[in-house]
Amino acid sequence: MNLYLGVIMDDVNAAENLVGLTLDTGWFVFEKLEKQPGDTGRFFSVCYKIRKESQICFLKAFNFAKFMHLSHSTGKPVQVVDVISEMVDAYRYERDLSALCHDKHVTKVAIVRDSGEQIVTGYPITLVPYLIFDLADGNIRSKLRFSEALDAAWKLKSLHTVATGIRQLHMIDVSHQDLKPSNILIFKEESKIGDLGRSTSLSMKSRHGELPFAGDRNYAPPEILYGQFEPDWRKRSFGADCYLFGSLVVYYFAGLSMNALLRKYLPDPVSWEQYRGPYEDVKGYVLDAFSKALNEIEDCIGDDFLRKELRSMVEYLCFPDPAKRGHPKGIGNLGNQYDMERIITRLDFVYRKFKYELSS
Amino acid sequence: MANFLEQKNRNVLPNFRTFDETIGLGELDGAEKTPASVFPKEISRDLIDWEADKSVAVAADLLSCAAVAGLTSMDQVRKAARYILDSAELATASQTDLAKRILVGKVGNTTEPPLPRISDFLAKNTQEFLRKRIHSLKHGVRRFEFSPLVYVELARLYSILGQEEHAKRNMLIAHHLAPNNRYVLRSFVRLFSHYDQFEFAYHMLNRSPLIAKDPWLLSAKLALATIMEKSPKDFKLGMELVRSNQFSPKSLTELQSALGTVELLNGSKRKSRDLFESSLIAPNDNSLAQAEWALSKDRLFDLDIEEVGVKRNYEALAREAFNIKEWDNVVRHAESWFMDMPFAMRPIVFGCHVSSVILDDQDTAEMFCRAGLVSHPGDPLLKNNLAYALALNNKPDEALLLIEGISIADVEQPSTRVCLTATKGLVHFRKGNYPLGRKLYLEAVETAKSIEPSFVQLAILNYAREEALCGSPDMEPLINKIRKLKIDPKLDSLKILRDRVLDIYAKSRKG
Repeated sequence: MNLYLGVIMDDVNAAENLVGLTLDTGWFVFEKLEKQPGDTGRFFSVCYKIRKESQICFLKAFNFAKFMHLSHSTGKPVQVVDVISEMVDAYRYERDLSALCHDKHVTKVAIVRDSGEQIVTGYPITLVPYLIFDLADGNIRSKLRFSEALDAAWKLKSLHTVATGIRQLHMIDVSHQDLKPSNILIFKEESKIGDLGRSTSLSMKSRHGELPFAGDRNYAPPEILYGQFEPDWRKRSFGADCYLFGSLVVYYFAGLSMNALLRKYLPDPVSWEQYRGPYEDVKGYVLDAFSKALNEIEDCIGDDFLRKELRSMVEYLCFPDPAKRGHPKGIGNLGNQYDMERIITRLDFVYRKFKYELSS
Repeated sequence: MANFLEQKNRNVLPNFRTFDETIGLGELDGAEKTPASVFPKEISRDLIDWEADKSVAVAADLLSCAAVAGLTSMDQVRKAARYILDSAELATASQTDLAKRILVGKVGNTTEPPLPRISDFLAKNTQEFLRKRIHSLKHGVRRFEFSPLVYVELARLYSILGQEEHAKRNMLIAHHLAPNNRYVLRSFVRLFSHYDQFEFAYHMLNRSPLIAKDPWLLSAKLALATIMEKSPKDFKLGMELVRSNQFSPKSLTELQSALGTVELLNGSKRKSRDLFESSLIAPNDNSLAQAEWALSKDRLFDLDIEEVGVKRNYEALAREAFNIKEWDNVVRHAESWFMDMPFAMRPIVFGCHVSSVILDDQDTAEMFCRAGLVSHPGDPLLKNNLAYALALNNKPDEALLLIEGISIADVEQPSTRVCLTATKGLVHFRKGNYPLGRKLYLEAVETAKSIEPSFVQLAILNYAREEALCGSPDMEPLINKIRKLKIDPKLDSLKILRDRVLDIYAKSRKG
């Protein structure tokens, strides 16, 4: 893939040239972000710092060139109007989903504050749809210190917030699908889930909603990597979110994704790169790798209490068999086995106990 | 005396090793040619992030994604790996380990533990060690009750400890959990064949829909059919798979070997040769050993085992060394063969026979027998062979203690009953109780007549050795009889034993 196509097209792309403009919504664009603190959806967009009165926010301008490039990368012929339509759809989806989250009091997810479609004259592509968010201080990767034990309390609190955010989304039938370190944003000391761009919703249609997994494939649960797709949307999507959250726990404490650890312990012939066949037949090997990965995660956690708690939590959050994933008390019962409520409660308990033990 | 005269046919039954070892040998590689990946490989976003933010957290995230996508050889990824190693004090052990793996170009699990020796196996208080391992796995089973691999490994460990019922029960659970998993099915076949339940293994294997399309399973079914002397109705299907051009030579090696065995036993020399030769394009240790066995039956073609370069080819090497009479090497390779599969009986009998009878190295024979008794604790043949080695090593009290508890009449195999009677005779000779020793030996010679002539010869030679050693008078008629024995030229052991007896007699006359 040519990473520099977007750069080549910068001069003809209005989304790349917004600095100095005052948008129709009254926001003044004063700085282009080469490395945007939140990193949300950066791949499809150009990011800026904007100002209105005393508020400084973050603007995500949808980048036509990137959409065009991605469309070309599929190898199929594409029309410019189709690409523009796709971009506008993506913009509308994120905007409308944010509105839904706002209406349903989703508080732990960074949602759109304002939005608009700016016409910037003088460029072949003049339309620049944009979304405005609160400006994050960075993502979790800029905050985590893997070598410091004292950081554990903060990590637990952050994970508790993320779990709450996932539950808030699930309550309104939205699955995030793209939970990964770069999408966990930091606002002062508080964490929030960012980038709803790849999320799927039961009530709102999106182009990527038809995909079995819309998020970053490198974090996808193993059943997806091996090509097994549960037909029921809730089971498939919430099961994936459950796994992605478990993988985040692994990243917070071991510094790698669960998939990276699985890959490490999977023999090459049965890895998702090489194996072609039903997931059912390879599941035994994945379970074996999973048990070894859990041992490794344990080795990365110094505190005895935390080690036991987090191992158990990761075990049920990331269990390679989606039918057995989720809190043990939720499996086999009516309702959603991937319900985050028990996990939130447990994380709260672990956080409080750990903090108490630390202070005493 | 020790029984080593039975020449059983060999079949390409799957070998039963740990999962990791089996994977390492390529027996679980995808059998068929496969379609492209479901997802495109993609780490562009992570590369951009890494270029913008050189930190351990971002580098580790990039390494994670690269490992999952199989893109670890990219320059930027390798730089990120080096960055993590340079900042090791800020990184977790997991991060540095992955970074190291990426830099050596091997992320996946490919470790192959070194093979221990039998002396280590015995010195480590093996049973205690294996029980601890079982305990740890059972703890794992509670956590991963749906992992068939854990049950297979438990079955393997129980089989090494000689706990047949536990071994079978765990294998049945594994089969229930993964009835179509190649590793589970092949291990299942081997375990139940080990306990002579060929029909059951055949029946269960036959239930898998994979039989018709997986050459690794079809070969096992053909081997079972051959053992049970069933009509090889899958022969045609096997030939179709071989000719389908869908499978790699590695995937077909055992199937071609099994088909070649059927042809060999049917007397079709040319077809058999062609199939065995094809099986050696990309052989594994099993097909290689089968080829070596076939060559011992009929010199179909030339084979240089070392040149083939197969991992864990100990059985083939042991068989080859035996065929060319390199006795020290037979013992060396039989030891490795056993340590590779510490539940197997054949390497023990092989190693024990050569060390005890041919090399007269009773310490090594004793070691083989003791190792074999770990997995076959009550086996009368092994106990006999151990008592034989002990008695020849002038430890008759220990030998007697070992075989005294065996009720010879209850032993199933007639040949083993003869051996036990003769070994009792040997023990009494070595204890100085010549009349009883003589009586038992003569009883053994008499019973051996109902088995086969070479067995009678073996009993007579053992008896004569003891008479010569104790300086019995009037041995000339017996020695004359020994000189006139018509020994099968293929039975080197009997020839060597006869020479030894004559030598002892000659020395006793001089003395």
